[in-house]
Amino acid sequence: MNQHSSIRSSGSLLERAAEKFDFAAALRGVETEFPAAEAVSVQPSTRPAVEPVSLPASSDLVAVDRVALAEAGFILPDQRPGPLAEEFRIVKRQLLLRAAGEGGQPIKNGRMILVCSANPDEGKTFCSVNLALSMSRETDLDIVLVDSDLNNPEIAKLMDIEDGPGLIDALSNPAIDIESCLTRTDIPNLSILRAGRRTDDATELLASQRTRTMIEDMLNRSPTRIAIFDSPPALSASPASVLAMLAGQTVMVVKADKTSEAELREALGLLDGCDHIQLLLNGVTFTPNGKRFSSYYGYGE
Amino acid sequence: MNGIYEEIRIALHAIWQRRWLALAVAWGVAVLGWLVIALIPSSYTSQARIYVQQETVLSNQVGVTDREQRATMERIRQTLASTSNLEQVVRQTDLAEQASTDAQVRSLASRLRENITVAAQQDPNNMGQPSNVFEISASWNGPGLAQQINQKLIDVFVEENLAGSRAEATQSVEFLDRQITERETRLQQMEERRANFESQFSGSLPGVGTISQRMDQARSEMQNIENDLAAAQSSMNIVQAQLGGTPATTSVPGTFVPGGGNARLNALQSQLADAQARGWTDQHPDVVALQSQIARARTQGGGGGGGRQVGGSTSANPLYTSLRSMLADRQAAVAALTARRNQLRAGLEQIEDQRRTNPGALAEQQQLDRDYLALQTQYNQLVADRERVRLRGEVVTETDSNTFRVINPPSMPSAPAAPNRPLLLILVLIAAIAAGISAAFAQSQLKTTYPTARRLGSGTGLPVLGAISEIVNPVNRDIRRQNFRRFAGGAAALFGVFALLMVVEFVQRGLAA
Repeated sequence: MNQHSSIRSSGSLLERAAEKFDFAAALRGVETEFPAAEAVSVQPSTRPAVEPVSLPASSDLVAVDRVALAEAGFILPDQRPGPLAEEFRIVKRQLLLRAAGEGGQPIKNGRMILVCSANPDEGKTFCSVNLALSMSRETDLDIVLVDSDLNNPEIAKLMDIEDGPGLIDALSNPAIDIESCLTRTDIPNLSILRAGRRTDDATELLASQRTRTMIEDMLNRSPTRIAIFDSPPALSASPASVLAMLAGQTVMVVKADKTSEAELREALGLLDGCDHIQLLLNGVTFTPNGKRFSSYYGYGE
Repeated sequence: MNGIYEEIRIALHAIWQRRWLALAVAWGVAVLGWLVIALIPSSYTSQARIYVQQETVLSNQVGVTDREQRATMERIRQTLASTSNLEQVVRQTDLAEQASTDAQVRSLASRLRENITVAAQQDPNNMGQPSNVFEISASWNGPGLAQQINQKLIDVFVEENLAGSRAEATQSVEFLDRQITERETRLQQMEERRANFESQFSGSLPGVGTISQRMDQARSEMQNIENDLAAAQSSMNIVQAQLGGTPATTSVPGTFVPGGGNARLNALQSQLADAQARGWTDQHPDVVALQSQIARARTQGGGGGGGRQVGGSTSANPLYTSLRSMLADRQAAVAALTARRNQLRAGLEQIEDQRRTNPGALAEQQQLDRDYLALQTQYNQLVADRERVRLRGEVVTETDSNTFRVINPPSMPSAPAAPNRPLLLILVLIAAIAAGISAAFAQSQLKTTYPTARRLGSGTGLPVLGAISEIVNPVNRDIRRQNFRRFAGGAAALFGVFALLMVVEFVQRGLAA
């Protein structure tokens, strides 16, 4: 494999271009705006046992440290959209379309989105949190942000949520219902699933059949539910490749000017279990035409 | 075109991303380069100009040609850089402290040769011809030493040149002397042989030159003698014939010899008659004087008699006598000519005889004559040459002594001629910056990263969801500013060190000057 051979070629150049630039989105029109609504109509019979998620009382909501988030550069749902929000809107739209099974075969577990990267510090957490925040702005979605970076959980700290039972607890202890581990936040439509206690055999736990069923259960609990998994770095920790086997879509975060081609290829090789890997270039400092969204919106930085 | 522009921008961006690497490489290269420059020993060049007069009025007269002078120039240049000269310089300057053994002296001398240049300046009046001004420059790692070497070089050169010219003349004279002595001996031998030969064969023939020349001379002389002989004989015959017709004696008749007194008396009487005819009386003193004289004359005449009669006789004929002496003369001449002719004839006959009986000897004689003449010519030539060379040598030596003039004495260099440190410092700085930039660029090419989403897509062939711009929060911004300040500081420090080194270099020069 060299740099000229494409890592994974699917379809002709035109098809790939269409995929990349999502020409289909323009044709799909209004429907695309509401993918979740359609998902509801498609799948109701397959999930008889699902009771609709009851909106919790406001007392259950965990307050998120919005100031800290804003300072760290995250997009908050109640902010006016800035250039960053615009960029994530574009990303989000493509992911939601795929999750809804638009523009092709419906993807198995398409609503489980794994955000991964080759190395630490390339913006996995940044991207996954921002994606979750951006998606939560959708009126009819139920976003679950799962911190699956088991060795180095950051999300709870970032949002200033105290520790509690999380993913590992639910996986290792059948008695614990995963639903009870979800922490609803005061950001509408956003729940957080913490990493949980530390364990040495996280990979094995994640690889178990129970994990698969449990995640599927969680997704099936609500047809509007989108689970965003913040993964450990692919080249540093093994859980990433296991999670990739479960996830329907994988977002590979590539740090601009930093992630090398070799690292990217190696990470992609590890994440082979997922059929739908898409790339997201993070931390771009070079703008070919010198234009960002802000110049249009006039927001300034 | 747009693509190229973007490619260039991306490359610049990639370099900027690796600016720290670039800075580190630049620092490394610069420090290393400057260290190397500092370690290069300085070389100082001392220059001198000397004037070597070659054309003197005298030497032109005595045949020191233009070509010879140019050869002299070449000799000067070569002897200056000769190994023995350089070794002499090494031994006589402070370089001797660096070299104790012969091998060291030799190696120093060969090093010296590389650092010395001798150039004849072009003659401004005569294009293409070297003028008499030589530029000598010597480079060494100390200003004083360079000057010393140059000075010594000139000293050695002047000595060498004078001695060389003198020795050359002496040598030539000695050579000519030897040649002349040799030829003298040969000439003497040849003369001896020639004398022997001549006494044997051609001694009877007078004259100079070869045998045939002499024979020719002898023949023509004989011709003359024959003619003379014929003339002499015919004139002898005429004289003999006249002599036959001339009597040996002649008869002489008697004659009257008048007395002296009568004649006088007659003269006096005629004078008296004249005086009387003029009407003079007897009392006239003159008439008185004449009468008394006549009276005296009469008495004398009466005593002497009146003249005598001489009787006739026979005497020897003078013609006959002279004819006889003429005849004797003629006879003697004929006899002499005959003898001469016979002698010549005998010589010629003898040689003819030799030629008939022994032709080789004659040829030998001729050969001998030719050789002798050639040898003699050569000998004369050599003797003349020797005198000329002797004179010329004296001319060159005498006139040379004041034709070396040092126009510019060896200079005391103030700044090192090499290396050109300021230039090298600048070059190292430029090279360092270039190395830094190229290192960053090389790294960006070796380790592919993705600056744009398009590159990411085309590089991997996977769909790209989008590009997220870098978020710069206040903390990050401060860090960045600090980083940038550090980078700028690092870059400025590089230039600062460069400036400092330049200042140090010029201060050093100022101190040395």
